[in-house]
Amino acid sequence: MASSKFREFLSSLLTHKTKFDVLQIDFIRRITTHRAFQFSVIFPNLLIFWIIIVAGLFGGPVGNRNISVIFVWILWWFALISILVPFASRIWCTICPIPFFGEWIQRRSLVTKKNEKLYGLNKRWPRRLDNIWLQNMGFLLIATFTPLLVTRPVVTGIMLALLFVVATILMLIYAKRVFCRYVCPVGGFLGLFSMFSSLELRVNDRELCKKHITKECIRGGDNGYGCPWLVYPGTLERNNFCGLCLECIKGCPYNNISLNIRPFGSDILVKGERAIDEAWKSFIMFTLAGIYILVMQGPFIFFKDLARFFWVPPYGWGFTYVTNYVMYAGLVWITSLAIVPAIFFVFTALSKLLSGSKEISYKKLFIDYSYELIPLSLMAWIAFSVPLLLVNWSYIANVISDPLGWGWNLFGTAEIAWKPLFPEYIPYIQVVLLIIGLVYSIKFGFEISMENFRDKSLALKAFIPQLAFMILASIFFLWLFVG
Amino acid sequence: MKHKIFYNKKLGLIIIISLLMVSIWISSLMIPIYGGSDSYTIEVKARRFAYEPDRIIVNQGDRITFKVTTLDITHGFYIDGYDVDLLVEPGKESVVTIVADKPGKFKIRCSVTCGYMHPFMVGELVVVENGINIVFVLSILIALLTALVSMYYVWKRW
Ligand SMILES: [Cu+2]
Repeated sequence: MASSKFREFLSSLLTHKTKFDVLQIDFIRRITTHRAFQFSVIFPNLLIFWIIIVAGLFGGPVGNRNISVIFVWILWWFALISILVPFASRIWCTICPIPFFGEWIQRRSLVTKKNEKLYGLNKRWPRRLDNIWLQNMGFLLIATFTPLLVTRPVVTGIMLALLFVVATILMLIYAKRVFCRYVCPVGGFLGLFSMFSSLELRVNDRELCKKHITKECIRGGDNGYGCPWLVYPGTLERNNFCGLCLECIKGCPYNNISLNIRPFGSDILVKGERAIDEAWKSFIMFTLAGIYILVMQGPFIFFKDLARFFWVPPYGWGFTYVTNYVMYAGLVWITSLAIVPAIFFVFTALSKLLSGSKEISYKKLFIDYSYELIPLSLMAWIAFSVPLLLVNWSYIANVISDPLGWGWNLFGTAEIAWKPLFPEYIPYIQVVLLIIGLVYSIKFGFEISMENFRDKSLALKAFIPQLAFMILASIFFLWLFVG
Repeated sequence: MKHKIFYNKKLGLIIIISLLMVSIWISSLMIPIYGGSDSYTIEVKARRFAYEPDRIIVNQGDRITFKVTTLDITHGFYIDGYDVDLLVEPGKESVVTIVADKPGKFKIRCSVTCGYMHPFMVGELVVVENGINIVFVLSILIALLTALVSMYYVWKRW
């Protein structure tokens, strides 16, 4: 029995012919439906976060000698963007400890299912903020201070501590996990990129949910709370706002929830919830991938000096460090919020012109096509993250032995010399990743075109400017990697 | 089925073949070329957190002597793939000679922790052939080819 399930699972991985529900594997179902599951994955993580915050606030000031910077911005970031998101959707949210205290206070319970009535003011989140604009802005704000965050442990420590405070306060005021869904700056891009992921949580039989009156998945049942993410699984079509807390699996009396392995990128073609805030998230992530690779991994003195916060340049342009950094911030905000969307709009307008269609509005095309950038953008981020790990792996070994940068040597790895792993091959890995992203972007872009124009040749005409945009953008990335 | 291209065996085959092509191409690039080219010296100044010049472009086969000094504190001078790792101390000149036998872009990295932005202290050595960066040109060609092929298949599948 178990072995045939496993074979089915393997063949589904290879062929992607069917979706495969990993909950069919007994072991996984037993673990994930156990009430102690989430606590037991969050709690160790909470301890790690505690060490990271303490190290950030009180440890040595040099970034690559402090566990907070190395663990968060190299290890965590790499794992998140290159492995967790593409293969397991928002599984980070399953183990994220930031809403731990808020959720504990709300439920007044760590493990067992208690009363569904949450502690706190239980207000409703304002309708005006029922979108991801706060997250868009929050991410840009973090991006603005990235040169500080990733180099100064104290800034990372303060940011993480602040996230805990904000999450807990918001969860006292508003019901459920509004922090995660609407505020967490990481949540915005996790949602966007999880659309590409090969894992999804869905219901097996929608009709069953429709007829089912008690709906434990939103109201809570004997063994599970109602969805803390304000999601109704019965009609769930996209990963964006499902934080994989798995409460619905525990709560559903019909075992109607499945956790499927599926083809990459399935959600990109879901039309229903496409919106302008997500379109902008797509532009922000796409643009920032370029800016980060250019500024941090490129050689250019001009950009490097812009990104230095406390520094007066010697080349006498009358800059002070303030104007210098304001220019960097301007680069980040204006390019991602205005310049790149404007260029994309021009290409989309060309799409509409070439198709000759009068019915479809500019706005709809603009929003729809913006989703085609997700694979390319995700792959560019992975390409950005690969050298972080391959070049700096020795720092990870160092800080494990000397987490605070105080000269300890707990495991004898504090003095491992810096030596990049096959760095001469990194550009080629980046090229391959980018091309994979381009293939997926073309596939989804054309399907979005088909879905708008129906007619094959119209769809092709309209898609040509999109193809041009994606190829030009790819050439820019290739230039960053090997040019 | 919605996601036709994904189930397409031919496309999978094409992706595998192009990956193979890329890997053969990469390994062929890594075979060094020796022989008659220029010899010259490049003076590099390291400072927090950049190198001047920030991009060094040389011809494949050139014999280059780097004379590296620092304008402020101690830095390193590490070149990806060229087995170079110099310690650059204030007031001293560190010298290394390489033959630029491999084409493409190689990052120059600071190998001595020199402050906050140290991990981003990066320069570039670009090895070209007759002014053409073949790695870049071939990457673009492969990207275009792959784009064309995937376009063809998406088109066919509808
Ligand atoms: Cu340095």
